[in-house]
Amino acid sequence: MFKVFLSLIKRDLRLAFRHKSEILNPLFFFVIVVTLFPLGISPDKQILAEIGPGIIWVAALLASMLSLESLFRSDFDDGTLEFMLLSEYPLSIMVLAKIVVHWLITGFPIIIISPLLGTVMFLSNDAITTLMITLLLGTPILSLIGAIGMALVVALKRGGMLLSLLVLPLYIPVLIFSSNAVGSSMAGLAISGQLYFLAAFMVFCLTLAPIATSAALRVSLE
Amino acid sequence: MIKAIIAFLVKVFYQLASPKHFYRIAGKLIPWFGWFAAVLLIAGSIDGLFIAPVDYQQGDSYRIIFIHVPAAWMSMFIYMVMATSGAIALIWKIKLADVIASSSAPIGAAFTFLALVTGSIWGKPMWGTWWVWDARLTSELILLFLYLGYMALESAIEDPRAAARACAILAIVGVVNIPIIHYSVEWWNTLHQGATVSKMDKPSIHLSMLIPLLLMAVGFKLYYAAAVLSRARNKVLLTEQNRTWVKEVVGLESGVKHG
Amino acid sequence: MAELFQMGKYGVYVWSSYGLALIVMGYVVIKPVMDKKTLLKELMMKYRRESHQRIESQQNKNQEQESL
Repeated sequence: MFKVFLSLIKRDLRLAFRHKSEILNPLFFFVIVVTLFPLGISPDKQILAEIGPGIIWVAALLASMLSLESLFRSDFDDGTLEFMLLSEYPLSIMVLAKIVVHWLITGFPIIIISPLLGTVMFLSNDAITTLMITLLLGTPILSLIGAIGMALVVALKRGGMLLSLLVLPLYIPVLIFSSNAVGSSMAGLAISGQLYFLAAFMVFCLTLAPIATSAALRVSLE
Repeated sequence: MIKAIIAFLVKVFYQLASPKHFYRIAGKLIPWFGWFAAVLLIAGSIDGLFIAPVDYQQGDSYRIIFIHVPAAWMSMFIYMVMATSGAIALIWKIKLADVIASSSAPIGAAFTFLALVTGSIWGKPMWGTWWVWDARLTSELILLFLYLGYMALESAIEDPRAAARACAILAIVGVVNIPIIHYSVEWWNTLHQGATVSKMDKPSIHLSMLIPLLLMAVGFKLYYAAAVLSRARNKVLLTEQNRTWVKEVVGLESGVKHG
Repeated sequence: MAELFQMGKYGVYVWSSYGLALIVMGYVVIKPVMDKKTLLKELMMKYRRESHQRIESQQNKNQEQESL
């Protein structure tokens, strides 16, 4: 079973690297959205440092959500999903493999580039470290919850807008705790509580989201 | 003896779950629920508006709470009903549970809207602004988003069976997330509560204020029961329209109306 | 009596809340009643159309048999 899991991850990664835009576009989107805020509000150092954590996190939320399309869309179009449904291996394991790949190609690059954005938003070094930790704990949650939403709308022709209605409210706890942790570490306060929450929420989603996603896929593919 | 009782209960359950019997029994129940709800709501309103004593801190404006709090309770309760009946429909394949869930959604959204707006109206004289990012109001707003997402998903999927199953999954995911969202919003609110914002809590509520609150709360529940059953009856007629019993019912009911 | 309705200085807020509740809750119960009326009408028309079609096709069959 673990072999299937690994081979699926390998296959999807190979596919993703063939279409480099799937990796680069969410990343560009993330950078552009963050850049808009200083232009729209003010280049003032204090203001940006104050709103920076929230802005970076909202941009990460949107980038992760907009890239969910790549999670199941092509497999749905060419019938691979139906094949997976009929296979002898548990669907939730295969779904988890796809979610891991989605995180590797969207969440992980965001984490890598986040120090840069933290710097242009005038976050302190401590805050940038915290930002990376929260992204490390938080972006997998976004991929996991997003997968449920994507599985529900995958059969619809125009599901993009609907997907954001379904998924964004569920992202709220991640946004609250992550951006708050970064803000608190700017102010030199303790952040372990927020990080514990994020870690617990991630484990929770890791166990339940693949099951919900495979149930949703079964409904969508009926 | 016990076996007989269980067999009887199972029989009653399956009879209720069959659309034809549901239609008949719900038709009988609706007037009862409706009239009891009307009596309780009128009594609760009169009690809440005129009889309950004036609050020494908030003056008469606290009387809005007799609408706001039960509406907020209902908004949570109805979402739980949707998730529970969704789960029942998924596990036991009972069509009627789907009907109940989808009939509940607009009513729940209406209660959520009512809780939001009355909360905002209550807040205006208390806080001086129409909106404050108070924990309860924010939670209600997010709950409204969840209801809207549910209804959007339902209307986006054309096949009603698939729509019902997808919505059931969404409702279950939502119900698991609601406590987490609620907790995080509460936590966020206590952190950012710089100014003294008096929350809408009821610190040691007096008995004379509790009575109208309970009257309204029970009234709202009965009202919901009547409203959801009448919506569900319509849906049953629509989905079963090619059955003979529906043809009979339609003939009978439209015959009565034309005299 | 007027004082009772004034609610101190909060009359507008209290009455608009109760009024809104009445409107929203009234709409929620009246909507299915209206829906049911149109649904009954539509179904009645549909059934009539179907039974007409059935009778007509029966008549056509009879005529064909006669002409044979």
